[in-house]
Amino acid sequence: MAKKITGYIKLQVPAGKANPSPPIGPALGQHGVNIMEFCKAFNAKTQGDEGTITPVVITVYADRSFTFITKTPPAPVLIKKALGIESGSAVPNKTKVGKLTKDQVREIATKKMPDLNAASIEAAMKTIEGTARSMGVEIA
Amino acid sequence: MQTDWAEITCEVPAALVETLADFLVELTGTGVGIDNLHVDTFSLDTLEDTPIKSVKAYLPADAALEEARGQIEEFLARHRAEYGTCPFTPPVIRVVKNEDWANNWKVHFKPVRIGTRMVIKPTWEDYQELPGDLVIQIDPGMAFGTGAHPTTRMCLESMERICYDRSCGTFPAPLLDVGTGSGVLSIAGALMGAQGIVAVDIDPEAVRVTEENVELNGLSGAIDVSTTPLDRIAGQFGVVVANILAEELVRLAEELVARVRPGGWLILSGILTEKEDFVRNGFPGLTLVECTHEEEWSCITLSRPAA
Repeated sequence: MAKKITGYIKLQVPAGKANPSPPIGPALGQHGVNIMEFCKAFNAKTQGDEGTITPVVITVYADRSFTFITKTPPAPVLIKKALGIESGSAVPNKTKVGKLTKDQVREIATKKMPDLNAASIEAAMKTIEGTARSMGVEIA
Repeated sequence: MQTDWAEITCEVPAALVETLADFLVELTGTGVGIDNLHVDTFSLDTLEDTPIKSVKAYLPADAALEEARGQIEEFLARHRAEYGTCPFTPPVIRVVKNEDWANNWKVHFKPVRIGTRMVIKPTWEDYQELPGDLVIQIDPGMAFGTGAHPTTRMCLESMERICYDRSCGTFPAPLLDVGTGSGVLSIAGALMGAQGIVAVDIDPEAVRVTEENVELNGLSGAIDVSTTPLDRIAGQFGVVVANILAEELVRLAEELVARVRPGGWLILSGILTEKEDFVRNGFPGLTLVECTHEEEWSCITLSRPAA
């Protein structure tokens, strides 16, 4: 049955650790969604990746029921993981924190491809490279 | 008790969202919100992506907040040059009262009377039953709703009229519920006395939710729930109810009609009123009993002539 959609919510939250405190509580609370049900379902779905920041898109219907889909981790998370670093640079144009090879960029772009608005893998790679530079990461 | 929260909103070009979100997640140790839109649509395809996004992060509204604000302002200032003429506004901070988010959403769900006998109530609400009430307990949750949606309400009302007004209080068994969702229609049928109830849905999650709701209502064993395809369901039914989509109803018309026994009833719902004629024309061999409307929805009840 087609139901009217009344809410569209995008969050990035740690996998397996969703709880009713912000940002989830205020975001879903204003739509009248069963927050604990969402947290349980999200944590179950992301089990095994605990702590990895995971984008989630929640669709809320007129009767306050909801669905959600999780997406691939954000590009900065994948870049940091590939380089084995904790953080990006505080001064990205001066202090560099690492260097990604083209192969690493391609690997990240391939992983992110389903969630990027990119027409080709090359276009997706350019997006990843832009994100890397804004974190103080050079491209080899 | 946890102090109140500071909601920090930053408006930035879409291309900077992921880097900013990453920075804010590191700063706050929690997650971030990127879009939180109130919409009114049947399809998200109509939503336009905006070049400027607002990213929201949360920190306890305490003495450490000012330092965090400074760090966020520095971050935005550092990235400003990359985006030329795009507007970069300072972060906006507002205090959000700490509240019991785990439970406060429940105020939106109260017992709802449907028809003259049925009451749908969440498990946490007390309800003083009246004589003759048929009380269905369903907690709101994932996609399938509680039964208060107009398409489901009209099905429930039609089932009630078939049972009490047209069949002298005896539900014309058995009942087939196609696209059962939360199982509310099957549960209502069981409470009206229907026997041999078969509930099917193509979504295994719906089957799981229905099984939970059946147990919650003390009806274990009364309803056979599965993902069995319609064309594999044997036998004919006194009432077939299908609350799905207009196009699907018409696509399944032959199978649905074949499952209705002579003299039985077919309730079709999930139909936008603009598609009412399309559905009615898709079931030419049956007799129109009634067509009800609520908001933008129609529910069509048909009967199969007795043999």
